[in-house]
Amino acid sequence: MVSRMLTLNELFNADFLNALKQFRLFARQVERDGRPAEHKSKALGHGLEFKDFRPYAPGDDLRSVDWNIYRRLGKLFVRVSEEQQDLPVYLMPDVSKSMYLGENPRINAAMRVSLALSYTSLNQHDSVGLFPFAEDMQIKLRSKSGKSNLMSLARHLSELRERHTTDLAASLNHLSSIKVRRGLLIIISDFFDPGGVQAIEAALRSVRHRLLFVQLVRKDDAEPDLEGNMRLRDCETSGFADISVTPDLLKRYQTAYQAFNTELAQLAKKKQATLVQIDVEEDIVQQLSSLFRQGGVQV
Amino acid sequence: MTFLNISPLLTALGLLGLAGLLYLLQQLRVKHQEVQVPTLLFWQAAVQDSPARVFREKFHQLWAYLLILAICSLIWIAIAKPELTDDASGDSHYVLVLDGSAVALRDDFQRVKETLVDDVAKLPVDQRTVLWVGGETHTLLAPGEQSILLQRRLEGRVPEAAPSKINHQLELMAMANRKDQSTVAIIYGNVAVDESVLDRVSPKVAVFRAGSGKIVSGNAGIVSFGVGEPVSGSWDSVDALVQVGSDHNLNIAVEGLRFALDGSPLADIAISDAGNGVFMLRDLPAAGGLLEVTLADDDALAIDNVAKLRLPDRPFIRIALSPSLDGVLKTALQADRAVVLNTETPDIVIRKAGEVFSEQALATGATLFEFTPMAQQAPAFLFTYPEKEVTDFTLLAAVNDLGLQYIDAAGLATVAQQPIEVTARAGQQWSLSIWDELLSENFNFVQSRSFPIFMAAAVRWFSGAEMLRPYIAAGESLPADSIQSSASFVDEGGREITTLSASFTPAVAGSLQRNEADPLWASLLNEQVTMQADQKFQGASLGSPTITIMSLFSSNNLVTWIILLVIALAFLEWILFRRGRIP
Repeated sequence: MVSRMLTLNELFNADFLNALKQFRLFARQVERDGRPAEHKSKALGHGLEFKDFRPYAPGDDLRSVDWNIYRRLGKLFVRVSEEQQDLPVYLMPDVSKSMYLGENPRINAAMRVSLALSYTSLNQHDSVGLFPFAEDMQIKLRSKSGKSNLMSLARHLSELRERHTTDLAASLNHLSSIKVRRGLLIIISDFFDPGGVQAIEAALRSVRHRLLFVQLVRKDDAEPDLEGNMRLRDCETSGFADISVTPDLLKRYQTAYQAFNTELAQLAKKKQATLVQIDVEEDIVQQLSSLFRQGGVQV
Repeated sequence: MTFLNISPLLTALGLLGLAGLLYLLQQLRVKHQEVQVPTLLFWQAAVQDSPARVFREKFHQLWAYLLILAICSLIWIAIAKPELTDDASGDSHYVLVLDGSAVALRDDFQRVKETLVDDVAKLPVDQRTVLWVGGETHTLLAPGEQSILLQRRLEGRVPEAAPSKINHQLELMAMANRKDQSTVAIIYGNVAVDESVLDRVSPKVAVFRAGSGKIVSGNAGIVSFGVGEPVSGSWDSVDALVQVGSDHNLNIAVEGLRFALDGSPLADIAISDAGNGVFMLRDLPAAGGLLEVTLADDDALAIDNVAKLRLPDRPFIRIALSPSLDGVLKTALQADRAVVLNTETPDIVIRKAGEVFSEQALATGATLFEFTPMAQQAPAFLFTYPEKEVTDFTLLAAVNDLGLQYIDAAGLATVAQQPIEVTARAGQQWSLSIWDELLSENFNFVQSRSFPIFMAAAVRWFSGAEMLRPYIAAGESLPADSIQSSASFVDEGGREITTLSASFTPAVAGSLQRNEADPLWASLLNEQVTMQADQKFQGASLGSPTITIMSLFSSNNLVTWIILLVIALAFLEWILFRRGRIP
């Protein structure tokens, strides 16, 4: 079975991009020291949203003095506004072998989702960084803002290449070692880490970003179409398991898969992360439309 | 248990071979189809409780092995075709004999048939034969034939008007050579078996009786009926004898009998009662009529209440004897009561060769019997026969019928100094020419004791006079010289019988149609049939058979049960597979 990846032209498609205009990402609150943008931040200053008054202190911008209050009370007060800053978005698409398996590989969906979220973020004046990972993380694109970078990001996405095993822990450690602002970390993966959900949880301990998990699933993850005596070979580790497929075995497989999904959901809840399941065999835009139905996704 | 298709040893070896082969198959590496999956995480969790078959692993799947071994072994055993044997069946061959003789007319024949059908269903198909023993014996159900055929073959079948042949049949069974297999004969019906026959057939044949009931007494019937030369010595009449038997000491008087000739009651016939149920009828006309005697009263069995017999047709033989032979032959011919010398309308013309005598009679069909000088005729006896009508066989029979075997041919040859030869040639009509010199004293032929016999036989043969048939009884051979050598008959059942010089035995009572003559009649005339209720005729006491072989477990059904078991095991395997208990 030969994987067919999306080309740049297929990825950077006008119809696809038009369909994304409606989407918005909301951060509950971003950190200080960001660039002015559209997300609420903890910083108070010169934003558009009025927050409070405070007594004038030397050095304050005279433009923020409320002269009406001074006329009535004879004291100087300045208007304090809530600063709206940008949300750094770090995209971590999985490029391990499992993402490239099959005729319609998950990586295509990962690319589309990455581009969609990048487009949304760049539209909101946020910065976007691209850090694909497999057995380790790569830095393809440090935080870039401005819509003009969308094309560059799309090119990077289309140039992603298959690597080996999934090692989310190593990749996240690598991310933590980089000096980046706190932002939104979007992990786009099947989450089939050989260490299981426990390994992912351990790896996330060092992560200080807000989290968005985009889990790429397909129908035969839950209901594999197998029968007879099979040798199953793990596409990443090359390990194998000989099985004789029986209804009972399939049932046990489904139980294990269901347990994995439950654990992942519990992890997301524990980490106050958002978990989104995207079926790679269905239309991505339609699924994202459902996701953004309330006007946006809050992270 | 035995196996019909494969020997027990080979069956056992086959089972061992199967066990070994399946063991090896279990040990072989399963050929897996390789498939790439994104992760083994969930499969590894799933297969922990259900590992796949692997090479040379111990019997983790022992139940799967035992199950497939059981299925294959049962199929192998079914192929070997097992057959249950126990004390009841053993190696015996069962011959179930349905009595179809006139004796069975007094049985509840329908019930007997039902009993037979029930018993047949209980026996192994390869170990039983069903025979019909009536007027003739034939096989109703051969070994291997399905029981259902028997029911069809018994439909509409009724006892025949024939005496019992059961004793003869038992002796035939004893003579039949069955290797390592004894015979169990079960007789269905009340027919009697002679003690002496039981002694002779034992121990090869064990005889039992089934489906019998008590015989109701109260029967009388005609047990003998025949004719003979009349005491009066008259050529054209016969005397008849009738004997009536009864199983309850019934004395039948002459008033209890009805006699008829060609359907008309006999009148003016002297009937004498000789005692013990024997009656004599004197000087009945020997004119080919059908004599019938009937018991006036009804009783338990109707078929023996009537007997019929075709009387001989014996007109006087008219002979025209040439005066030149008067001195030699006249005395001998006049001594024969069958002969009348008649020169006007003779049946036979006797003269010397070259004489002009009774030419007109010869022209109208009279037979020529002439004497020719040795110088003119090489053979001593020369037959002339109509070529189209006569076969070699008929001619040979005619020579015998003429009584030539009584002639001292060697003595005649010595005197004649040449062989005494009998020759036949084709001609327009029957004639016989013998040497004239045989009439001379030198040959001592005329003076010999065989000469009157030869002349009597010759004139009877030439005239076509019927021989006297003393009786014709079903199942009884007629005296050899009382029937024509190659007579043909069609009996009551439509069967054509050609005697071909063999002893003639009509199988059943009834008419015997002849081609160009009035039908003969065979009567039952059997004491066994008439008086079977009499202790004297009941024969040996026979035990009841024990047929305990259950039909469900007969040889055929055993294979069926095995196949059902195989299906059940296959179903069990499917359930276990569905539940993941076996791979």
